[in-house]
Amino acid sequence: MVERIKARMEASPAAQGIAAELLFALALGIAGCLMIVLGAWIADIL
Amino acid sequence: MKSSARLDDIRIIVYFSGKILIGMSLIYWIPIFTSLVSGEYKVMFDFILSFGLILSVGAGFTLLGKAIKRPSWTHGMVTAAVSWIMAMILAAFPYWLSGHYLSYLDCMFDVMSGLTTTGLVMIQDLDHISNGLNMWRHLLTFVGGQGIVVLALAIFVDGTGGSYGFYVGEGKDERLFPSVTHTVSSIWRISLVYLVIGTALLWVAGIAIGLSPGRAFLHGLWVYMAAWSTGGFAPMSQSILYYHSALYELLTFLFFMVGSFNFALHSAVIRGNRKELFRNIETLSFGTTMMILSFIVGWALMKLKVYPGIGMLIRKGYYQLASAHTTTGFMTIYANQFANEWGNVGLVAMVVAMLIGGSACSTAGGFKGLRIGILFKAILQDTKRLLNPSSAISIEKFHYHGERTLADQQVRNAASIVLLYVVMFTAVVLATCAAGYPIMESIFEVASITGNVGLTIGVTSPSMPTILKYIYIFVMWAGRLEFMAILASIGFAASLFKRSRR
Repeated sequence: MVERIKARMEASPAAQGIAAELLFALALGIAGCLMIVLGAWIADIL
Repeated sequence: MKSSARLDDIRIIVYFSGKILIGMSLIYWIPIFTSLVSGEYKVMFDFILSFGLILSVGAGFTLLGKAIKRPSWTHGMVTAAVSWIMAMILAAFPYWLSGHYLSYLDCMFDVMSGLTTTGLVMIQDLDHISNGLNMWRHLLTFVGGQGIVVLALAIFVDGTGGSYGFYVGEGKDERLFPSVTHTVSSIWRISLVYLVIGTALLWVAGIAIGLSPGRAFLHGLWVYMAAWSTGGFAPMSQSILYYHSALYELLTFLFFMVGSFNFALHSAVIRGNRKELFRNIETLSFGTTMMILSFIVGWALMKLKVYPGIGMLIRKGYYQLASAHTTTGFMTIYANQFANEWGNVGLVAMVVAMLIGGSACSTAGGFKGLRIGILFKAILQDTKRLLNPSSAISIEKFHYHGERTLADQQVRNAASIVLLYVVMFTAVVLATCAAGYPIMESIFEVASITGNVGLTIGVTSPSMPTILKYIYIFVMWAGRLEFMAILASIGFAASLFKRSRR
């Protein structure tokens, strides 16, 4: 199943583009979470 | 001679407004089918009646008007503004027939809120409405996100030079392809591909949290439509909080983030240019403001000890901020928690996020990241000019689908739109305060309305003053069309008035 999805993805630039957009959104989300934690941590220690 | 020329202009506008209404009438078949499958026959007849109404008005307009010549930019702009108002009046009819609203004005408020992807609601007893009506609510926000004019252009209007004015009139000024027809069909293709993927994922997530397969599918479809359109409508009054699911929150987060990206960016990435994601001034601007505001919200909420741990801080604080910045309006807290718990610093950060908004030529509202990026570059250029010798030439570049040199005209355009937003925001805050609401609540709610966000602190409700409802409808409309179509319409109406007095 995973192999089939991988093969389909490699054959389709559109699927790769959609995956790239979702991963980019996820990366932005993780970076934002880290910033919110940093803000909370500084508020906690000050 | 001149008055006959003006009459010709009116006939062109009426003709194309009719075409747009006919295009919009086609989507009525989706709630009709939903009601039929769900066994909601009374609701189905409401929609059939409403379909007959919009089709008759649309056909009447096309008969009264005439495409005498190729439509100009002014025709396109005025048609976009007029058809949004007509769509609001006519699409409110099924709401009114449902009996879930106190007045026709409340129905029109919800339609404008849906079409502009704002997401504030006036509906009564949302948790017990029919599937047909829920489909209609979410469909309006999905179609509104892409644009009702874009829908009609994709179906009816050929790719002549004049049709670009319709497209720009709806607040989109980015050509994905040289042909407008190709551009609008591409916007719809991208949205429909994502619709299938998003609904499937949310369907699985819904089943995983215990919803029945049928209910999970409908909720997945509706929530996806609202997430992608950065609309913020949800099938339940508790919004995303209803699901109590971190997986549901993660998926909706991903979809509204991607939904807030520029359609030109989607098109570039899907065609293989993935580097654009990391280099585009808009994503850089959005990422930067998002990081700064995340830090401030984290600091503000921890200072007040609002949430007990990091997990809750992210699921409540960060989710609300991301929802605000993308102008979505999904909530995982109750409205009164903003006023009672978040404190002023957290609320101001949310207001800034809502006003900045997402990307240009996307489903999102607000000033847009592109304009913030351009204004930042202009400030940087001016600072360099001050610091360098007067003989030095300062050239500022930015990446936006290729390297571009910052031009004064771009800065002027960006500054004009941001200024118009700020003027409107200030005026409506004053009006809300004058209606008796506290200043912080007024600022928060008006930022949400101006940016087409949909988060609420509790001001928007069926019991609010009628005049405020009219003002908020105007602000949602003006914010979504980014003023140009409205200014063109005012100019057109003024020119008609002047001629009639001569």
